[in-house]
Amino acid sequence: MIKHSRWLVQDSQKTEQILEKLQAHFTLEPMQIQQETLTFYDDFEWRLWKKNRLLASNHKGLTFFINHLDLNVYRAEPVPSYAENCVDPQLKAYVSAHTDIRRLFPMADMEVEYYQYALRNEDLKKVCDLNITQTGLGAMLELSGLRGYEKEYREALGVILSSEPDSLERHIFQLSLELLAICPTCYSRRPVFIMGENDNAATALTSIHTTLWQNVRLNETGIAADWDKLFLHQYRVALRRSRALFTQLKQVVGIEASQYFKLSLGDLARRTNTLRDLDVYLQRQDEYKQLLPQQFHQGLDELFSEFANKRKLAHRSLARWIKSPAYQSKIEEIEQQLASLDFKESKQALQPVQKLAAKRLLKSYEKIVAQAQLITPQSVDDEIHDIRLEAKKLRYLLEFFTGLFQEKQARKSLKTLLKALKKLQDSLGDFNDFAVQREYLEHWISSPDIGELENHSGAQSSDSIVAAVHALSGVLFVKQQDQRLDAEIQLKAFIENDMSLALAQLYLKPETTTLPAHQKD
Amino acid sequence: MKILACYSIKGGVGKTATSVNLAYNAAQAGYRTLLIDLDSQGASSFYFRVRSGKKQWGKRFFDTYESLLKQIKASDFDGLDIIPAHQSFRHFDVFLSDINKRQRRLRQVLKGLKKEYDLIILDCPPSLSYLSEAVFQAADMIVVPVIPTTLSERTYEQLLEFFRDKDLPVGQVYPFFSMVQKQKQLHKTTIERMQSRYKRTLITQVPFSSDIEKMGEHRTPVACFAAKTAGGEAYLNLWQEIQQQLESL
Ligand SMILES: Nc1ncnc2c1ncn2[C@@H]1O[C@H](COP(=O)(O)OP(=O)(O)OP(=O)(O)O)[C@@H](O)[C@H]1O
Ligand SMILES: [Mg+2]
Repeated sequence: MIKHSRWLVQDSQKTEQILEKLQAHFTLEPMQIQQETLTFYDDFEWRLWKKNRLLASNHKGLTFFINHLDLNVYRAEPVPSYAENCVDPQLKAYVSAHTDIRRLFPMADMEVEYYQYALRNEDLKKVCDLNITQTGLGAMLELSGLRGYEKEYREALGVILSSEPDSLERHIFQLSLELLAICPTCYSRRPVFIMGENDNAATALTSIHTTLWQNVRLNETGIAADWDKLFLHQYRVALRRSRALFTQLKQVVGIEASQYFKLSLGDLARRTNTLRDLDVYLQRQDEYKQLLPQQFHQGLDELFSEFANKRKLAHRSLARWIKSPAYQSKIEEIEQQLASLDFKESKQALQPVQKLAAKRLLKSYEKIVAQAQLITPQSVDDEIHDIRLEAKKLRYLLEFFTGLFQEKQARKSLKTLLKALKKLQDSLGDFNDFAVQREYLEHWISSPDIGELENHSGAQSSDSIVAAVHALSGVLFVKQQDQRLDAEIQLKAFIENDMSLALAQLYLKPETTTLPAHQKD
Repeated sequence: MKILACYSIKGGVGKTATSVNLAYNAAQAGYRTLLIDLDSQGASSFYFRVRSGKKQWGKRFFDTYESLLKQIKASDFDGLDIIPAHQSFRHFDVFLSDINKRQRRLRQVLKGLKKEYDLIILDCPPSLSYLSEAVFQAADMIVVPVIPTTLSERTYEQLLEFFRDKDLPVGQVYPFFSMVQKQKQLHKTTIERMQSRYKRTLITQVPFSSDIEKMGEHRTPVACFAAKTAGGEAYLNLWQEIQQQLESL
């Protein structure tokens, strides 16, 4: 019912002109004039920016959240740091929907002036609000009518429109930031690998590993500074993917190089295991509490405070490693190896990547299916874990190469496969996870580590930790059993929809002209 | 949604001043508030600089809430809307001569607004009429400004009698003292006597204040130009006392 419109006026004389014209119809009362510097915040991945959201603070308690064109103001907010530190629950929900646990960084400053006018009628009753937001780019005019004053709103609208202001598709803050040559990082946790279907395998592999390696390097600073836990997580993901690339495309890079990368990338990842495990367990406090009755909660709390202490130490040690000359030289060594990759030795390296990818995808898929067909309720857990590892490999292949297949039918097939695979992986992952958790927790209480940690709990608290862990392990065991049933169901479902024919089709290029080439194969 | 009526048989006791300032304070406290100016004199509307349209819509007032919606005007303040008075409100008693209408109609129509508002405040004309009966039936709480004089006390007594006669919910009537002049002995003794006689008398007393009088010049609630004065603070306190009462209903 209440009307609202916005425009952009870049010529300041024109703004003056509009105000003057309005004065012929209304009494224009300046209500507030304000000038301030806004700082805009975003996470490492610029996820607010990428979704047309902006978060700004004036450093005096005012925080703005802009969603496309809508701006919300929150008072008495601390300077943004993490979503969870926002005071207002709505703001917290908005920010965390995009940045979850990520640290927020200042990305730009901007000078802003606000002018608020009331348009009043002959009784001096306010009938419209006119807000002007002025930045280096120009002025954003916002006119809103008051309920019951639609006629006056239309009148003001007519006046403004007669000056032909520009329409506004995005908030002036966003347009102004673009003008400031704001340049979001190209970092993405899920980078798109640029390659053409006619590239050979060597070129494609180079493109993929270059991108992945960038991601490894870009996360180092954040890990050392401990800005948030995703730096480490994404560092590990990039290492794992890279490692998978070199092992799975062994034939392309040559056995020796493949072995080298498998070991060195694996070693870099292994150094981060302790910290990552603790990060993961520390997130589980509430979940575990819900699994156990009250009597074990104290033990759990003590366990988690041990985790927290241990995490501090683990982070300190990892940060030290990342900043060390030894790490630096390891990195240089790897980079040298990457640069000097020599594909001449390999036959496969000169093959078209698309063909290679199609072959690998089909082979990997068929391997999973073959193994899954052998699973019965009597199969040992390890057989299921093996399938989980195979599924992971297929997932990596899909991540690397899906982009190569642009033909409609191929894309559809790969999408179907990915969906089925994800479902399977979730189930197998959970199944494995319960086992891993039990092992970790039980190892924790049996390792001599416990005594070394600086926590003020004596032998007594260790007892309650031990009791809590045993109880938890029992609950997790039951859950693991249940999950095993689910895993079997998912495996069945996965093989039921046979994709091998569809995957075999990937060999065929869409153009019929390539058909003979394939037949010659 | 709660309905609060500001009522007195006597004229000029501060009903309108009270309605206007309570409405303002309620909105400031976050209540989505609608002030309905039932007095065709339009004093509340005047204070908020709101005018009614030309249409003679009074006879449709009790039809449906949709007909009320069309008349709502935003005040200059967030969360506060107004239905301004109209000349045709003078004929309310004609529309309400049917006893059934009197008893339920107003409340029903107002309840239609419960999605939009947390609080409706009714500024009533003086006199006992069919309209006032309808208001008594509709309101969750009726606040009655009383100037602490013997005469006002008797009028208040009359009001209670009317309630008992008509079997109206007398427990919803809350008197409070308005235009109090502490230095006047008569005021002092009346206040003491009434406070002990009428248990529901609100504690807050609104003093006689030149700032409240000046609302006519400023055409805004007193808090907008004299919040920190005795008059301004009295209405804030009165609102807080009434708010507590409303919340406990
Ligand atoms: N506390 C007060 N101190 C001084 N003047 C007051 C006070 N309250 C109200 N007035 C003034 O007294 C006059 C009557 O007040 P008001 O209009 O609020 O009473 P009312 O009961 O609504 O009158 P009516 O019965 O005519 O509707 C107004 O001029 C108003 O400014
Ligand atoms: Mg009045």
